[in-house]
Amino acid sequence: MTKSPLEQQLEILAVLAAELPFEAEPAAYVAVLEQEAD
Amino acid sequence: MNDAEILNLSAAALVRAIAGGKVTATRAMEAALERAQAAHQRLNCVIRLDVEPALAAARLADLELRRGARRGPLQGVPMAHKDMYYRAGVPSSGGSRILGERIPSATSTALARLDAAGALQFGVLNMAEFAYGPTGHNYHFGHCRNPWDPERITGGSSSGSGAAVAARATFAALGSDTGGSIRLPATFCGVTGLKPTYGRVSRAGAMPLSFSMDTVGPLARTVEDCALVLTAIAGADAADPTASNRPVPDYVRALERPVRGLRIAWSKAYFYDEIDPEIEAVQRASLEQFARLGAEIVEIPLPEADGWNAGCAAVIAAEAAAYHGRWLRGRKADYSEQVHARLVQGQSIPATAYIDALRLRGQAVKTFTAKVLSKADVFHAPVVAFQTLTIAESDVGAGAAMTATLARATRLTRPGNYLGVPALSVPAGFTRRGMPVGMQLLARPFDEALLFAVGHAYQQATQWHLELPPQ
Repeated sequence: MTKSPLEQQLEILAVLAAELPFEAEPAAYVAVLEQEAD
Repeated sequence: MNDAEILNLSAAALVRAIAGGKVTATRAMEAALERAQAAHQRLNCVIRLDVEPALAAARLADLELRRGARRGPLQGVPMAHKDMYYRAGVPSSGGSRILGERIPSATSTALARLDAAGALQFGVLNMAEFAYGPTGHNYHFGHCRNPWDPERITGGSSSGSGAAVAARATFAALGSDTGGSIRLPATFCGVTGLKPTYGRVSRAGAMPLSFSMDTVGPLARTVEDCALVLTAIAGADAADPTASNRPVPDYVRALERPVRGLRIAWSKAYFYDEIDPEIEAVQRASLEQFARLGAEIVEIPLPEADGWNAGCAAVIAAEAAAYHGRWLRGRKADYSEQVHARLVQGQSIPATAYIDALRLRGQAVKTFTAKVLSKADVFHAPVVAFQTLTIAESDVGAGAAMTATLARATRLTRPGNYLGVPALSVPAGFTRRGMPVGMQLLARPFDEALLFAVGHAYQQATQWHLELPPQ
């Protein structure tokens, strides 16, 4: 059976998440955005 | 000046004409209201016009001007906005059957700041139901139609904003962009639209779709007008903890930065997969135009955008489902089939996938800046890969074609939302069928000023943004 786009996207995410640094946290995003502005 | 001459002015030119006594705010408002009524007949772009209050506000603005009072940089400019910005005591539909039952107790920060800048709101515009749809279909208020061909879509979710700006019915309009909802109608309708950096503009009092992705920004006739509106609405806000404290530059003053010597990156990888040849030709011509302006064009493959699109899709679906939980349980009949089906789909996203999508986001920004913005100043890409669909052929409802059609529409815009960086959509040409085509430019977080300078230089050298749709 063909996978839906969302199912395919969740699979892509799972692969990427497996390579995430251990310390990556959701709350760090806004700080990174500010930091990368400069 | 006759009505057509007034309505063809940019917002910036109208401000100058009003300040110089060449036209009154009342005259501009009368012309805008008449055009909005006519455009609505053809395009279904309006949800409500507030004729008498708008005319009264315009007369007051003229009185203040005669007395020498200066309210702000948008003094006397008539505007209508996507119907999802709350005003105290006035219902906002959010393009839905449900949201209008609630009477807001406070005015949204974006509207309050436009009021303070002297803009005059005369109505609210059509939009996708709950801002959750990239085509411009709306089963409650009727589908919005493209001014260049009313059989074709406007794009969404800021459908009425795109159509009304293109039809010269409003001088500018607020939209919102969670997965492409400003840039898509901007490109399909042939107007300019800015998705600001996440946190640049307060979301307080704006209907949420996905609080980690939602941004508030303008659709307007020119880059200069977008700069004018952003200068008015951007900045810190105690009512929105995600609104950045970073100072707001005068974006209009920053417009004149030259393009010569800047490096503009593009990626054939991902962004040109399965692209329509006419859309590709417009993109290549716009890059050649930037080269003629003295920019250096560099190709930087960015296949990572596939993962950023996936992350954005998961976050939006999960957050939208959570926000709508209160209504999904008991009010299925008040949703269109498509929006309901998409929200229910979002309930099935595992919590771990949602959290991973948020964890990956910081790394994605670092990758984008390290890989692209260390070698280039801005990133150039198409907004969509296909030509403007007809309303009929993209009317996929909740059927089997739904997820594929909608995912295809936002495939090139969602990476910008996931990164949170600013993205400017600029008219760049037309297809042989006569439909507008846009390009998007992305930059470092909070560098809207650079995008405006690059977009403005392009509009000084081209005429695409000045073309008018049939009346």
